[in-house]
Amino acid sequence: MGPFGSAGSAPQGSAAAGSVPRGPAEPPHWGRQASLIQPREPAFWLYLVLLAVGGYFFYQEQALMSSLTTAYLLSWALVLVYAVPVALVVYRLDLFEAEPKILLAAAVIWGGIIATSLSAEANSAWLSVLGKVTAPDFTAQWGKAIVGPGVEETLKLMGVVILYLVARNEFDGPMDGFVYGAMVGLGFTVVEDVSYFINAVASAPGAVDQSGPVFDTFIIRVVGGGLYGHVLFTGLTGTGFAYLVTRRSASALKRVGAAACIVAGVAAHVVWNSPLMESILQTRDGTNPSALQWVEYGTAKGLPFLLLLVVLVLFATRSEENNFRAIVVGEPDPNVITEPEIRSLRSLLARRSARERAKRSHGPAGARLTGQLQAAQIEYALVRSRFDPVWDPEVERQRRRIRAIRAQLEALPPVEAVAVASSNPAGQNSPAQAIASSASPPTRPAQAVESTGSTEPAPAAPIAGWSPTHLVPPGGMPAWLAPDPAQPPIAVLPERLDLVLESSAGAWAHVRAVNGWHGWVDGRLLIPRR
Amino acid sequence: MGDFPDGTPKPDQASSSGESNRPIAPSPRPAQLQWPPAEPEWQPAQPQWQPAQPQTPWQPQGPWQSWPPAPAGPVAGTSQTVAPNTAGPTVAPGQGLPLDGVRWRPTALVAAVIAVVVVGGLVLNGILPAPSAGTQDIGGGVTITAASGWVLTSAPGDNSAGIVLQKGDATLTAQVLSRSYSGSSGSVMAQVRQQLESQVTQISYGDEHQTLIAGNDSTSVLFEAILSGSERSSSHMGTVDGELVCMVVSDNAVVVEVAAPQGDLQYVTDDISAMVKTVRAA
Repeated sequence: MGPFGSAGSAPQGSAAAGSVPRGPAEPPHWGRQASLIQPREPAFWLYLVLLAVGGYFFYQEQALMSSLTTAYLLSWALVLVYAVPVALVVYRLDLFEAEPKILLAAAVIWGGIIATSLSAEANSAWLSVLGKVTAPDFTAQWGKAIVGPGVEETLKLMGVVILYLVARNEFDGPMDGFVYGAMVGLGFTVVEDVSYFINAVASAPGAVDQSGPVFDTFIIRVVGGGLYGHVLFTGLTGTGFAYLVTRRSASALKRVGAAACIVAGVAAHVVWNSPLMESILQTRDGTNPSALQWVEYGTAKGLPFLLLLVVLVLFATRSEENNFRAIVVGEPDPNVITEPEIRSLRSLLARRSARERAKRSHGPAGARLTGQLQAAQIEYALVRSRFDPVWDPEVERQRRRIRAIRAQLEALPPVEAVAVASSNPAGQNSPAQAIASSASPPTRPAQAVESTGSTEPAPAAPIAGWSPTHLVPPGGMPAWLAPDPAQPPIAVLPERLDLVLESSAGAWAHVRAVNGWHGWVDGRLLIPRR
Repeated sequence: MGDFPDGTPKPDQASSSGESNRPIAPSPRPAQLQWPPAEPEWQPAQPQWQPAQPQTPWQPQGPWQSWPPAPAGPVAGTSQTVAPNTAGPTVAPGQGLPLDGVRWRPTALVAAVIAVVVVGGLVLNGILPAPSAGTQDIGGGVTITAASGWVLTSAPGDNSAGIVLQKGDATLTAQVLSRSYSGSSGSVMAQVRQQLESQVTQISYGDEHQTLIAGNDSTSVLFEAILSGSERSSSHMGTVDGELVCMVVSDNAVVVEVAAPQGDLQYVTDDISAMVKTVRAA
């Protein structure tokens, strides 16, 4: 065990198993939302102490800057225009398990108040140290590229580490490290940007125009480099850190790769602060570089690292999908979630595609219901990871909610069927029925067992005289359409389900459920009711 | 029809090879995978799950209740729902546990790293002696004493008159324009501004301030200049912030010019104030 122990759940790498890839060996506990307030965790107290220290310096700086009222308000307004969408994007990228908002806020506060305040002191000190031990020209050119990343990335990453120590269960995979790292970076860049904006105003001769320098600096730092700043840096380091602490049994090569992500985050900062590629900013007449030049400059320096982060986020999303699959695996009711639906949840694009397909086949209401279905299925995974996966009423309640949404979805008339109906009085099948849609309700097993099973809706009340004789054993059991072992099971019956044993054939047992469904199971596993 | 053969397909294999909308394959469970099945570990004689009360009759909630053959669990809308495993939102490990010494170690490590980065830098900076150019003659017997961290990068006669001091990416140039000057510092400033404007692409000034510095008539002004490529020094990119201080020191017209990349002048303003106070004639 390393110095940071292990996460509450330590999912392992997934391995494909047929058409249903296996998830982590142990499903994560997504439904357990950790709180920041953890008096029993030393890291929580360290966070508070550093917040008090950082908060003191932060307040002093903000009070000083606010004397330039117009510039100060404009600066905050501009950075929020940038920060709010970025925060939403980062939040939405965590597709399956939204992190607790209080922890996300704690990450932003760490970056914006603690890390910036401590960095300001440390940067000056280390820059001075560097100036004492190297030539002035070297310090002038490379000082910021050496000191800034070293100090700032360390302090920001420590914020992610502290959040991990406070709420280990919230770190299930690299995606969580990305989210918390990006939020720390976002907080840092917001406060730092405001500081730069105000400095530009304060440094301007006369200091009469409080808005011009703010807009100029906004173009440089946000328009030109907004994509390649601290969100990117700490997103990379956070992803690497989270991989290291949640994938302890990963191969040495992969762990080296994760460590390389941390290095890449620092390297991205070094490149950004370095004097490299400044020729892009040169102008013929010596005037200020244009906004386009700043964009080119930022792109040349930051795009390679941004692409790396995008790739890492895609991998991390796949890991989250495996976690999701590990939680919902074994769900006996295909009306709750199916494999194609899991695949349709794996990205925002896939989710949107599913909704679009539903819109084409069932109109806007179909898209809306499909969106509700997707949200309910994700919520179902959270509930299921929190409670007894099969029996708990909360899980069953969530199942019913999903079934209800699906019932509404299925009840919607196909759009094309309506359109075609007038020209197709013969009542032939609508083309809409041929549209393959992963969001469409799956074929109900009751329909699949039509040779022996009931295709009728469930009875309004238990079948008269129906009196269960047996129970499905713990862990559930497979059921077959016919007593033919060559055929695959048609379903997995949930544990503790009441059944009536109708007949036996060797070890086979023909059973019937309360709703009329019937099939064949291994009679030796059935538990007689007492 | 017959007994189960030993080669009965295992549920996970069978289900994973089926249609895509089939129920998702369950996690491997020994009780299901072993075939023929072993004696169940579970003892029905002592069922923890068995409700003490008669089970609520199963009530279908709609057409979708037709599948699965739903367990006789709580029915939506019933107020007396039994929730044997309902724990509510749980908390992360650590809550409710005694403060464990083991938990201090990683936190202490984090605190140590932060201390090294922040306090270490401050301590090391305090320990290391700051290089300083000391007192320098800028010509005509006029001297200036460099503040801590300012080093001499150009002495009189190297490339230009006066001296050049540097700290980080800020530079300070000090020189004597005239050794027998009878005018005011304001007129020196006007002359210097003319020269400066001819050297840069664009320049704008703040308000001039005339005052006495160490008993010497002085005029200072902040400026922002855009340097063209030929004027750009290795440490100054494009736009620079600067301060001009013109002084009359014992009939010597002295000019001190400080320049730093845009936004960085603030870090040396205290040094500038301190150094101009040290300008004196021998």
